[in-house]
Amino acid sequence: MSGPDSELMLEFQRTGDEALFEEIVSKYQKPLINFFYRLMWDRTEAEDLAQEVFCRIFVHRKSYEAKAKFSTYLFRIARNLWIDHSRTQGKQPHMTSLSMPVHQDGRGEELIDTIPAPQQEMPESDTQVARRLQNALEQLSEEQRLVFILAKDQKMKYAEIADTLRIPLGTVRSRMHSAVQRLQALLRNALD
Amino acid sequence: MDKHRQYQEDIVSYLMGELDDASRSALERHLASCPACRRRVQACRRLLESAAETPEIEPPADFTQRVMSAARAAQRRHTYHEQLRQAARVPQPVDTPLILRKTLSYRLARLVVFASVFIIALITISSMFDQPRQPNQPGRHQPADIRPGDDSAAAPYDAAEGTAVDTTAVAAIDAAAEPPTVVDAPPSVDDIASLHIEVPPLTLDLPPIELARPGSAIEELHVLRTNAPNPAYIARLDWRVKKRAVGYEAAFAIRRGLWWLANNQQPDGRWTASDSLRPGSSEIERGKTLSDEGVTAAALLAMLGDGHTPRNGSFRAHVARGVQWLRSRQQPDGSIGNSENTTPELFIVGQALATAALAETYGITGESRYLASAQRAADRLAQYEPKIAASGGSIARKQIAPAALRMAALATVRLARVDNHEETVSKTAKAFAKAASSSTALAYPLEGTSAPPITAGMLSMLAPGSAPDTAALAGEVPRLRQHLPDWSRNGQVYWLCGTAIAHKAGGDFWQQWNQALVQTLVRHQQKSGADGGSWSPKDRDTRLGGRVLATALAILALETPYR
Repeated sequence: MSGPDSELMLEFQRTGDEALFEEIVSKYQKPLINFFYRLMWDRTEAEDLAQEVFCRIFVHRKSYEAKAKFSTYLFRIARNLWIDHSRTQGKQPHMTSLSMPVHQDGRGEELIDTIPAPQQEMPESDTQVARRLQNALEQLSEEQRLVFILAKDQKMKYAEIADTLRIPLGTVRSRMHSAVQRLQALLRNALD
Repeated sequence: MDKHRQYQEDIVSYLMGELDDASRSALERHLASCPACRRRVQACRRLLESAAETPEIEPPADFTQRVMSAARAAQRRHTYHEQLRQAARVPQPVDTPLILRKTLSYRLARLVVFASVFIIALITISSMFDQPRQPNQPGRHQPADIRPGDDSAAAPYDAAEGTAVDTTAVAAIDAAAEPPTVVDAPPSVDDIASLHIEVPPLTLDLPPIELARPGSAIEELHVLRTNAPNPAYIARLDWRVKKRAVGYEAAFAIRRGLWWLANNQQPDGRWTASDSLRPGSSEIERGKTLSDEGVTAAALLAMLGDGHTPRNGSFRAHVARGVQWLRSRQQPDGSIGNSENTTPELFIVGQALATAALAETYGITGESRYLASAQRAADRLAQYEPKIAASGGSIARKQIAPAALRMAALATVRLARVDNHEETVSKTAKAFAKAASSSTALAYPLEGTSAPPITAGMLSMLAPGSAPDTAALAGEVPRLRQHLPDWSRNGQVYWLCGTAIAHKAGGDFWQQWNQALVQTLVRHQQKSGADGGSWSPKDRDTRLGGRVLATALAILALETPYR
């Protein structure tokens, strides 16, 4: 049930041997960074959050229990961290510089509007369809996006996703279905 | 539910391989006879395939090392907090009776008992004072007055009868009963004239400001509340401490300066020197200004110095954006910005400022995301080997400022508890001290002002957190006293260096220096207009960073007492 990575984690928990943890980091860094990248489309933020997930696991290693696959445990922490991060970002005030030009209606131009769009950070080899898919993904609800990314990018089975997000299996199925429907509606022209 | 609709809902699960055998067979049979569902399968498959085409990003080559470094730092911080929490917890022996355990109800009960006792005591005392004075009680003798040093004045007197009584009888009563009561009979004019009252001199001896002292209660409280790893930044996080440390005028000037900086930040988070340089200035050659990374770092240091972090403070959004931009400019080798776009010396100045800004950001927030950036920047900075040997006249003057800033930045890194380059810092400080004592004294001239050159002795004392060298201070203070901050005679670099030394020297000299500094800067801060709140650059070195650098340095000088 728990798998070789859980064994590795339990071994690290027992011995405190950092080489074992480095092995875990090496194996999961890419999926974890890409998980956050798909959610935020910001490479630096994605790396920061992935680092924070590993730090939490390192510090709180004693609380790990091999009840499920290690990846389930890892992505559950990642999902919680992302929710915390989103809430914190949401609370950040949108400050407007007094020296910025003011619109005709008296509304100041918000700095956030002038920050380069996230798609500029995508690799150059990216296709046009993938760019549009990125924009479409951003329009999904958080729940749909999480399920879609875990299923499609992380190649998780529905049962694992249900365990990671702590939701019923049927909910995973319906969220995935509605995510695909919504994406199809948004990308109708691009995919034809 | 409609059977056809049910099959449609199963299509995504079918393509994802999530249908059980029975459902899959049923769906495949349906697909053979339903062209609409077949089209839908095709469409869903195309979508899922295109989703798989989205390229993945590769982690940085040193990501594992960064994580391990951050994880170790997080572990140290966690252990420290655990120790503090354990120390704060009062252990209760298991065999303690329940009634004596410090439960919430016990604490409440104790509070009620104390409050009751206090109220009863208060009522008792007040009733004693409220009791009407009865001077005519029979049997009580009351002296008319008592003069200090004149025992004979205490002549026995029976107030009830108004006549003199037998002194021996009174003495017997005194011996047997209570001591005589002194009453406040109105004194005569002569009495007042003869009174000698000792009035203690009025002194305003305020307690010293409680700054970061390892192990102090304020540190523990701060660490528990903010999760910050370092108590060196407590003073700047408390506005009451700040206001007391610098006074109202300076605090207001700092605030106005920070507002100007905030309003002149670029949309992407950087500050730039180019906007604030005079167009066509002959003094500054094109391409030889301080890099945007350096100017941004200086502005960030001014904001961090006043306690604004990426999460807290009025300018948190600006700090967050600035730090994010600075980090985005970091190259794989740790350099902040591109070293090819500027002179080697200016690059090191920018790198030193950026390293200090990143280290302070980590030091204040304790967030692991800043640790790796600060560490890599510090490692890159330490690689630079300035030529500061003073012997043989081979002094590379243009390397003095980069070397001093490098030393100060690496000392900031140490203060922030990033793995530092202790040896490099002490080596540079020793080299400066040696140069100061040699016959060919190393000095850094400040062109464009009549300020005295900044000597190697001054530079050796700039490392934050270092203990002041008493002998070196004694040598520098008289010279600085002759050249107090003056807008028409000296400039920002001199003020910043001088203030750091004056603060270390303390005493009367510090008061004198700080007063002159605040007066100068408050008087010459732009009062209104687009430049309102800023200062113009006064020396050539500050001009390299334009008005942004001039303002940042002026703010940093004013913040010195609590930075």
